Amino acid sequence: MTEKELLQKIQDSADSVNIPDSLSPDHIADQLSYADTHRSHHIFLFSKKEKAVEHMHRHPLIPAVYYRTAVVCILCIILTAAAWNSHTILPDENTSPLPDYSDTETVLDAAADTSGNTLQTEHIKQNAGSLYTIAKSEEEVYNILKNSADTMDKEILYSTRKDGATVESSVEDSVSNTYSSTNLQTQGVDEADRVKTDRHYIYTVTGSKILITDTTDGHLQTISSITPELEASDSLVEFYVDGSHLLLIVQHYDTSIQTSVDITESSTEDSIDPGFMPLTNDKDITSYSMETTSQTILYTYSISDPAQPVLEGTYTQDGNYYTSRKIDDILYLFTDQNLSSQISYISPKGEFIPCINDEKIPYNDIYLTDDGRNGLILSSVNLNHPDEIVDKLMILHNYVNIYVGNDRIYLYNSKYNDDSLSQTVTELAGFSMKNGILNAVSAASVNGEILDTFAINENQQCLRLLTTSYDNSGNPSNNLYIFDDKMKLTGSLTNIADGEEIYAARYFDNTAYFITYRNTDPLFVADLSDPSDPKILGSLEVTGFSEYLQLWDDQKLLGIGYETDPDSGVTKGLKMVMFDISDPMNLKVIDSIVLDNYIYSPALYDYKCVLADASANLIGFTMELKNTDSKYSFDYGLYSWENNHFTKKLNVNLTDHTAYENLRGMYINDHFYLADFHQIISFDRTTDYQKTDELLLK
Amino acid sequence: MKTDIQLIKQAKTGDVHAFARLYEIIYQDLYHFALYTLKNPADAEDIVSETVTDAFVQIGQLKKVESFKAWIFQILTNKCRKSLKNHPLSLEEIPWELKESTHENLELDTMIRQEFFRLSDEERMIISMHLFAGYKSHEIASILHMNENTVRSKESRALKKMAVNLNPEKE
Repeated sequence: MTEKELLQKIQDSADSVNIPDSLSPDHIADQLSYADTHRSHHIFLFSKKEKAVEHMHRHPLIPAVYYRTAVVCILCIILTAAAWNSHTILPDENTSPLPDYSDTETVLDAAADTSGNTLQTEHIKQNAGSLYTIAKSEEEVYNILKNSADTMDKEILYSTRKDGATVESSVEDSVSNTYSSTNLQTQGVDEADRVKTDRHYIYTVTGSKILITDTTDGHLQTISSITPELEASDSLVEFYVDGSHLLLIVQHYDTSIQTSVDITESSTEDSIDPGFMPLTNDKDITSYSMETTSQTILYTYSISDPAQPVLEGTYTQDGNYYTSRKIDDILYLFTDQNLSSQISYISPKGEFIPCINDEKIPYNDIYLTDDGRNGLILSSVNLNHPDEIVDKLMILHNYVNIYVGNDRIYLYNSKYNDDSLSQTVTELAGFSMKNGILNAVSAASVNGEILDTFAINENQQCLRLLTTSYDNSGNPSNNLYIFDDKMKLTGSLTNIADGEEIYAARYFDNTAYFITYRNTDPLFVADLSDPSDPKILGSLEVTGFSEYLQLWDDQKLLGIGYETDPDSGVTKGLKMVMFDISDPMNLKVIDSIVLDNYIYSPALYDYKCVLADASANLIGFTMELKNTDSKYSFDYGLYSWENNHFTKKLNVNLTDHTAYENLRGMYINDHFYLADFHQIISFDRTTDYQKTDELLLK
Repeated sequence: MKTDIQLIKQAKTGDVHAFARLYEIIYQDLYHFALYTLKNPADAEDIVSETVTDAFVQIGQLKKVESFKAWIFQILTNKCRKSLKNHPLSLEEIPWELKESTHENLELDTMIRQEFFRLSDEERMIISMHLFAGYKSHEIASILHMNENTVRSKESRALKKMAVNLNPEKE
């Protein structure tokens, strides 16, 4: 059953459910008319539960008991809802299939200009083609936000987002390591995580602390903890460990009840009679909403003596934590803030521009798009001066994904045309970031959408993309695009694998490997060495499909995905496959293994969950098992590659308490460790993975 | 489409019948969305009622008339999210009122529904937003404050999980 067929079946199953009479259009019309003629301004329907509690039947439209909290909550929703008007849901009338963003501006790499002058923080930022242009005044920023805000969107943002970026092989990375590191998108571009290790210690986010646990000889002992000063609503997000520094990212929220500017009734939340809803009409609605402002805080600690961590600096940036990267000593911090939601409260002279370290971002560091609602704030910090901004910028946008390569940061998003599926394009903007100095390079646009996090890749400042586009009947095909260092398109291949979509991709130097899928899984290998003339070198069909690809060595490519029935497309279970890529014209499968009854792994979608390290010969990830009683449970499976076969080394049944999406398999010398927030278990690699120790984290 | 826009314009002036006709186009989707997200017919009924009344009161403020459906589903989505957060789902079994004509598919529909209800709150929400509200993945991403790719992979994961479970042993 394909996903489409299953969706149809879900739809069918819903269609077979009777809609309650009370919701029929006639009934609703009657209710609304009744309310209208009785001028009650606000209309209430009793909830079934309240009726049940009260054991009485009233006319559903006479305002009576309504809980205070419900009032606040509903009005808050109304505000949110109204903000939706300005959303990107409407087609942009002027969308042409391939706008050329790179035309007007001089393209020059500002990082190159400023290289050798890392202290320079004042430099002039240039436009990202015509996709994002630098603001000329704060007023201009205000007007755009005001325009895109029909009203406001008040909502507490909960999720810290994982980014949608990409890439790299592990071929070079792990060679001399005696311990494992976080599985990264781009080698040399470090990423934060919630569980990390170095030569001696395992670091975990446990509640409101970071615990540092000594692992000598597999014996586990927590030697210290880091407890930042937190307020109740703050949370530890993730952290970096870099030699003698630990960089901790904390999300801070300030929540307060706000009343809207339209208030004519002099009531506050507390003064509402819990028995009655104040009578209002459209013109003077008393609105309450949860106003939440958020800040991302970076705490830098010295862990030269891990038993006694010392706070070295604090850095604050407005907005919700989005993601971060670290290259050498520079941390790049991305936060995001909905700016249009608050703009209606604020006069053009008011404070609506986000701050970093309490310093407002100057307008000439702000990039504009016409309909931007959110501000993506990016700043760089040198961990040797952890209180100070190296450089910063903000981009108004509606939604962007982030990919960070070795030399540049790319923002990308799909732009849809509601009338024509085939006109969907991906817009991209590139920013240089050498030594923390940020500036736009240019912008570009290609057909189709980037479906896999690893489908975008930078190699020596040249961008390569794999996209999937659809014709107007929804039939997919795939494209490969290559850009030069100025983001000019140099070559492309289109109409690859008609009828299939890209499921997984990896680039290595000038070769692209990617999986497309319908009922079988063709692996394609493309040669990108001539940027003006990319070529498909070979392909190989196997059953099932891979969702995650990683170079194992220069001869082998590891795929993790699903086995399927080639006729029906029915998914049978998780599968690992090792491809022989030594001869691209003659790709082969060396071994594959179907993990029966295992139906899911977080490794398929979050590369940080994968341990795949050829130097230690370990492949490990969490797998979800469907038991015979149809209950689900999780196992951690550890494999090695021996004599051209996958060989199981260890299987650990995880308890219900395991934070399986944050469980990491790691090794330090002769020991293997499984760690999440609550527990660390160690195993001896020299004695067939006998359990050495176990520690509950508190 | 044109007529919808005229209806919306009329509804904005407080015309109940215009509003009801707009509602008629989407009320099944609204109910299905609430039901499949909340898993409880009584809660779904209540929340759709609230949504409709809120929408009627607020429609005067709807600026872009073309976006009526997205707008009302946004109200509903937020209500459902709040409800899931504030009231963890009751486990009581509620009898389903099914249409009589569909008895032939009763077994399959029930099975599909059961498997769907085993998905997590977030998974049900994402699929419902796609299926019943007609949102695209970038719109879902924006509403749920998620990455677009994450939305896609979560939906795909959920559907795969369902597909595996719906297929009895196939060795």
